[in-house]
Amino acid sequence: MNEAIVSRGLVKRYGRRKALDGFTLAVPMGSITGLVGRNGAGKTTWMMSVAGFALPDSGEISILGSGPFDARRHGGKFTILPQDSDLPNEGRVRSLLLHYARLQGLTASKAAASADSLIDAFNLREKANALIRSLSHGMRKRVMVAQAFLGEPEVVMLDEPLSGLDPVEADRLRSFILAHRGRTTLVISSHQLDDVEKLCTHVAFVANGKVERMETMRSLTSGTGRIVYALRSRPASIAELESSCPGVRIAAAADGLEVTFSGDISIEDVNTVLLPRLLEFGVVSVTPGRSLEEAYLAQNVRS
Amino acid sequence: MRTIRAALFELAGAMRTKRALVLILLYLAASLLGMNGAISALGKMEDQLAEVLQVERAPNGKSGVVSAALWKSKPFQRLVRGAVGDSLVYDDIVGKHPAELLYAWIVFLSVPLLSVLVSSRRVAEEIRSGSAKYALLRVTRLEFTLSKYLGQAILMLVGLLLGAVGAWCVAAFRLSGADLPALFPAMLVWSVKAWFLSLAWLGLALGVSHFFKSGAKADAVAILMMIAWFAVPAVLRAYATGPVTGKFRILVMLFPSAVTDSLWRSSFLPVANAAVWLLMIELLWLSFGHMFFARRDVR
Repeated sequence: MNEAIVSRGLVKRYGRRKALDGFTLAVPMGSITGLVGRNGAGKTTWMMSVAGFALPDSGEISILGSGPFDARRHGGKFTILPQDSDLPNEGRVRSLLLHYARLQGLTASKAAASADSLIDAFNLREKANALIRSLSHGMRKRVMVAQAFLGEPEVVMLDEPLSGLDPVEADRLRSFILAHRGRTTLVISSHQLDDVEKLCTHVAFVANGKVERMETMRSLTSGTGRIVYALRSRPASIAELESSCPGVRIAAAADGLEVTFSGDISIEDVNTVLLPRLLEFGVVSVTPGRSLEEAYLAQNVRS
Repeated sequence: MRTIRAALFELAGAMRTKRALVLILLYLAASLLGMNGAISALGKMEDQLAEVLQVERAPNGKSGVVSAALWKSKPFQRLVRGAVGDSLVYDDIVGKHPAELLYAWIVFLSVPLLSVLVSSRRVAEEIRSGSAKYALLRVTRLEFTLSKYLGQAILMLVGLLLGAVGAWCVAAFRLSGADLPALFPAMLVWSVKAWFLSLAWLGLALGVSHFFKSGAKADAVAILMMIAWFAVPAVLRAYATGPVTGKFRILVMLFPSAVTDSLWRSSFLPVANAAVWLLMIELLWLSFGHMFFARRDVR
């Protein structure tokens, strides 16, 4: 079994609107897969369908090769951080985590160990006995994320995990997620493309209720014939520079130049020719490839 | 096991939720005040009777002595028999201490509203807030429904037993001539009977709660159904005759109020029959709710 989650041809209608329109995606085991798409593209609906909260009209879902979500089969192995879902207000942080851990089938000692380690991991020790309703939005969010990792599940889906967190806690969560790379299969839906790029090994572009493109992050961002040079000043003649390096196209970018070239020319070859000529203009940085945001916007503009 | 664990969490949650706690406290206050008020009214009635009959009141001024004697009067027995309507029920309650019957009346009267108000928004609110999702990752929807029901049922049992203790304390303080040690278990028995009644109303209210995503709507529909099923049979009994009432009686049997009369009986069989019927009504309504819940999105 190479896939943690497989969904084929998933359709979900709300009235006449199709929230999912043949959503097909295979999430590789051990990957961190980012879902990227506009509001209403179908990311959350797909996650809700996989978790069994939304019941699809047609299509297939299989989690860990054992069919659609069933708490008896998947409880403790598959979890989710659902979007816009409050925890029980009257619960206390530690007792709530303990309760969920016990419901997953953990023994009392394992449940306590898991809850305590997550309380520490998410910097909630001081609030361990606080009522959920007394917590700030960011703290609640941390408890919500923590519950998704109780008992070391095999597959975790996180819907907008970093929204609402302060920069320090967001960084802590990024490190936590990266520490799970390879151990846990993670699916992350986020509009923060920088974060998706830093965290994910795979990315799926979602639009109109279906996956339009699924690639590894590496092939999407660094496997392209593109270099951006940030310069203190821009050369007077871009055409002259272009003629010095056959096969490349050079265009003015915000703080320098954007160089694009075909796949048979290597990044090293272009740098060898262009960099010495650009030194006199003050090279601030050289960024090969393109960011996820650029790749996404390019795809989106095309579609 | 997960259902029991979730039910205990539901019970703790219900206790921590101010609404349930306030309602139970209100019920306790109502049963204590009701008991106290009823005993005061009984005392006044006894004073007047003692004056008319030229008999002596209890030397300590407490209530109950004249009433206990009154039960032995044949004309009074005929009067009560006429008021009760059902001669079997009358036979079972005749001779019981007024305090016991007053408690039973208070508890049967308050249980439907209390059960409905305590439970009708539990599931709807969790669907609205999204907190149901965290549980549904770990328990099936059936386990979720059963845990809500069990948690609320335990809460009602605790509330009703506490009510019996409180009412007995009031009776002990205010009544004279009553066999207080015998009165306490009798009140507990009425509480347990009322609990069976509450199970059916809980089933109805929780069943309704599964259909909604708004606690206020679930409350409103459950209360309307409760009122309808007290009012409609009464109206039909008064105005309709023949096959209309016959057909309607079957529908009426789907509601807990249909078997309340049997709970007034003392003998085991009619009470057991009523308890079984109430459990069936509870299962029916809970099943309606669950069947809808099992096929709905929890978004």
